[in-house]
Amino acid sequence: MKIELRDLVKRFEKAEAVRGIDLMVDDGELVAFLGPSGCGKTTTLLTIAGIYRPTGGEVVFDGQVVNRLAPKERNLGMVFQSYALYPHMTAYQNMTFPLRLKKIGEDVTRPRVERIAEMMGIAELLERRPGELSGGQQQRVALGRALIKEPDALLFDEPLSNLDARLRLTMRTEIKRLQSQLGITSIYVTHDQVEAMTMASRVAVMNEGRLESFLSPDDTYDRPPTVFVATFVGNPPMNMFEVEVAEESGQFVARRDGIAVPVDRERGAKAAAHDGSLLLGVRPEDVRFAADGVLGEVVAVEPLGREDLIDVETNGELIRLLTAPEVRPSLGDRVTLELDPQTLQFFEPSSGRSVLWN
Amino acid sequence: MSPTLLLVALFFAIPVVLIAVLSFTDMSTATGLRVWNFVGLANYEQILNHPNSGVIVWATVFYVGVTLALFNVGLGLLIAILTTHMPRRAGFFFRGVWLLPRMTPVVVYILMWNFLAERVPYGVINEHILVPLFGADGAGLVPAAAWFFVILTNGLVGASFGIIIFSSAIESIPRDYMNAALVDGCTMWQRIRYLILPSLKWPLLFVTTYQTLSLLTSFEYILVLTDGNFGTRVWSLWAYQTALSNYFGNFQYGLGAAMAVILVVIGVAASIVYMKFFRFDELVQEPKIEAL
Repeated sequence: MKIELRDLVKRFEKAEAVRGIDLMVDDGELVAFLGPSGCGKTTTLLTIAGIYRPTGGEVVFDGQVVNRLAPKERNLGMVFQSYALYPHMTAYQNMTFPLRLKKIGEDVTRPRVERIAEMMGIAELLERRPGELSGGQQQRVALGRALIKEPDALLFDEPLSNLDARLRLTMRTEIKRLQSQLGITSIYVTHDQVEAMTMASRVAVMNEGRLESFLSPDDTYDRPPTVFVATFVGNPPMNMFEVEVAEESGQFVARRDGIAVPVDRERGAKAAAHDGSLLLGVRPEDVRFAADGVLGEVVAVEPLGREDLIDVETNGELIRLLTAPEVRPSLGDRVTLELDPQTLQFFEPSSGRSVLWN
Repeated sequence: MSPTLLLVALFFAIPVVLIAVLSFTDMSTATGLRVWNFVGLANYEQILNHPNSGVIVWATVFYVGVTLALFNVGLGLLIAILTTHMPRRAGFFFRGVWLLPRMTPVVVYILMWNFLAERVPYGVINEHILVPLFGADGAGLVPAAAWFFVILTNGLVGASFGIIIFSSAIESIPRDYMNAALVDGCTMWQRIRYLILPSLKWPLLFVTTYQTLSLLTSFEYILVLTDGNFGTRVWSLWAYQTALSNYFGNFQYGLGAAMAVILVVIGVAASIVYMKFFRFDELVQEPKIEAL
């Protein structure tokens, strides 16, 4: 099923949670809604589920406006952060609950539950109450309950946030595999960018009730259309400082007092076409030590195991870079940095919009 | 002695023991505190053989059972569900208004009911509705429908306790559960039946038990409304009248204490029955098993 949002607005008594969102989720696609808490992603999801009625705009399933449809008429499956398994029912009763509401008989439900329980690896847990199941088991039962009515779409509301790190990794792969096997259109709300990037074919980055970008994971990372996307996605976050870009004897250069960074032709031309100063963004992994470049002093060294995170202060700006542990500098060392000219991002400071990708 | 033990002894154990001991004596206004005697089970025998005992037991069962079922639990539950399904502020307002009679002194509250139910020309219902519209004879309504008024006046106030307990229990059901039920395909009614009511087992047990005990021992509404006339004398009122307030002037402390002891035993027995009925042991959850 295709899910489309047209200028969706949701206002509560005091706050405007969603302020005009347009997007289209294709049939069978897994899309992630990514953003900090309070960005409106869960509100949007609950509006799609029919729990909230939109204040403005439209929710469209396969070309049909469903704004006024009750949740039970939408045939969706939903998985919650808290699992939301009914505590007074066994796992089996939880899973069959949606079918029992439809008065579907035991002869149909029993084999369906067994097939799904087999698929989820919870076949031997069906007679247990939620209180007797671990977090991972509960989430599997909850996923089973969402799948049992063969929904047109699956909605995930931070389903892995309550699990421990190792289990989260396993469940991530499992959900992704299951989703592509069954080909069910899915929307996955998360504040965890790794989850969003690894699972989704497209990531909707949201901030303050607005859609900041809706791109593939690679494009979200490499071609961020706004400062928010650039700094929110990526860990450690992108370095950002103000520069002016100009062409100097055939070479584009981004300058501020004491700093001069060469920029590649294509990006430099777009940046230089813009009057006044710009925000230059560069990811920590695209900065390296070099013989020639920006001079600075090492103010922090954080070993991360596979690499080191180094903070370098240069002319009042802090630049963070990731380096191989073999070249670990000491605090106070004078170093020279090179910024990869092919990866630099430029944003218009007042609007925060990229001058490269809009 | 720890503070807990001290408090339990001072406010619970010692009074219970004193009342129990008192119930084996013939202490009364006539004996005073000097010449009383232990009389063994004589008080209990007297109660058992008293011609009014049976009637009063049934009156008590009727009063407690009907008030509890229709109002303290039934109406409380109904209002709690209604007010948690309307806009929050409206719900708060409604529940707040329902608390007003509870904050009104009993005598004032019953006086207002009397203004409604009195004979002509003092009662509002008679004067303005029954007599002009239906040609009624204008006699006072309380004698004719004493139980109706006793249960109504008690229940309307009593329900507010259940309303508060039940509505806060409903509001503490996590949002996710409520949403999950809707997505799973529940109508509002099905959500009440399959999710909300099962989640209320614990508060239901609490309210039922607590209100049974408080109804068993409360008689002030009946005292002010009918003084036990028209067949509305319940056990606690009987005990009060025997021990502390009667026309004959001889207050039988020993006999009244025996009545109180019987009431305590009945209350404890009822609580145990409730715990069995609600399967209290199952309400206490099994520990979680932490595994992948």
